Amino acid sequence: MDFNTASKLSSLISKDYAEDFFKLLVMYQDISASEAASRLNLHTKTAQDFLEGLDSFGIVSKKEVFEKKRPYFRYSLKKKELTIHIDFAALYDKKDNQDKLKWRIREKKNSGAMFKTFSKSDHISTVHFFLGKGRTCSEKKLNLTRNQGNFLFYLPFPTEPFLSVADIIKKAKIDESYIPEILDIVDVLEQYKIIERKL
Amino acid sequence: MKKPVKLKPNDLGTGIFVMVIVIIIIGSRIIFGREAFYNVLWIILTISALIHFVVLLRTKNWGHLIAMLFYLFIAATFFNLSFHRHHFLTLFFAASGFILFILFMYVMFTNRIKWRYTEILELAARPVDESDDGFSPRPFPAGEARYAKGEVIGFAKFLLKHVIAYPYFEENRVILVVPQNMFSHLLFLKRSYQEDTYISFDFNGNVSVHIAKKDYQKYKEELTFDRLCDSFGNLFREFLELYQRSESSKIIDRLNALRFIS
Repeated sequence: MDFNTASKLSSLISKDYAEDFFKLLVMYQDISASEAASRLNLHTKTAQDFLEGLDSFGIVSKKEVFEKKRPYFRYSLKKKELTIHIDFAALYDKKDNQDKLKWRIREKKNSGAMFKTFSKSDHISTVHFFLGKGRTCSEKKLNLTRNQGNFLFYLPFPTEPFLSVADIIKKAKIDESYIPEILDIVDVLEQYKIIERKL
Repeated sequence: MKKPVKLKPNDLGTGIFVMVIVIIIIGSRIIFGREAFYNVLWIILTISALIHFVVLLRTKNWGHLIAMLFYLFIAATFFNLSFHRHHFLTLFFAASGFILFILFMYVMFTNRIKWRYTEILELAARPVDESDDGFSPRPFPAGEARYAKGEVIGFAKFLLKHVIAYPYFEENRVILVVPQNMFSHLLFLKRSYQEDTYISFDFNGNVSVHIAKKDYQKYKEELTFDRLCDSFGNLFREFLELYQRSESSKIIDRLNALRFIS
């Protein structure tokens, strides 16, 4: 299950009435939104939305029925249990990151960023910069991990030749397991125009 | 051929400070009379003597002993004039003060207690010909050097004695600060070096340089910043090598060779 789907499903089943709703679905062969709403003291629209939500995730099935009145849907439980499975490693796009390691970067001239170092070390601890101009100007502060700070220490100066991200990591003697967090800060700094990339 | 000076002419800070002191002294004479004038003089001179006494303790530089004694004897002269009016003692302090003045002038002209801030900045800028700006407030990795922990500590103490740089000893490195105003560090008025220009020698042989923006702006041109930092690092590495070869006097000679910089 991708993260977005999982978060929507979690949001749906976190409703106050969700547990009681599932009890009804277990007890009844099928149930309509108005029946469930009257049983749980909910508005019919609320029950309808909840059941439609469950249907979109394939937890219930719906069947249109025609009785004396106008047609409506009856819902029945399709699954006996629900498992939310998220592969966190999948969130990290390794292929994309292989490309980013080849980026040739350096600090941007007159970026306006301020760098603070960890005490008793040259490694950068925080990067301060300003967003916007005039009255809308706001300060942003990025707290860095030790490895990110080490990486930034070796980032070429604005007048130095560009260096690839992989080379800077090598120069800074950063373990490969920290590459994702390094690439994350590279992304952020490029986004805020603190570093520049040679295309 | 004489190389062009890379630094801008000295700023007016020191001149203004001296002017304020002179105005206070002259003002006290005009407004409050001779007694007040003597009092203001001996108080200012005693403070100067105290400052040199603290600096003497911290640097072990005998030049500050001469300066301290000079200020002290002149202060004693004016103190005597103000309170005791004991003719013999006044003459004794004044005569001693005059002898110390000659010694003090010798100390001044031989640059024994001169802060070397401008010389260091100038020497660092000498090999840099490009002017492409590129200032960054980050420390610059200036490569590696070969030294033992004891050597770099000894080097730092040597630089302190000759008021070339003020050292901060940390558990994993030595920081050598080159401040415009050395007194702020020597008199414990400032306990941080982050805003100043400094070079760091860690105990694994790594060297890094930080040039403060206020110091970078003292150059006439916007020198290519990484080249300037690199040159700054090379300068101190050369100094360290001279110290390691017991040729420390050559460091002083190199700095004195720039005496045209006021």
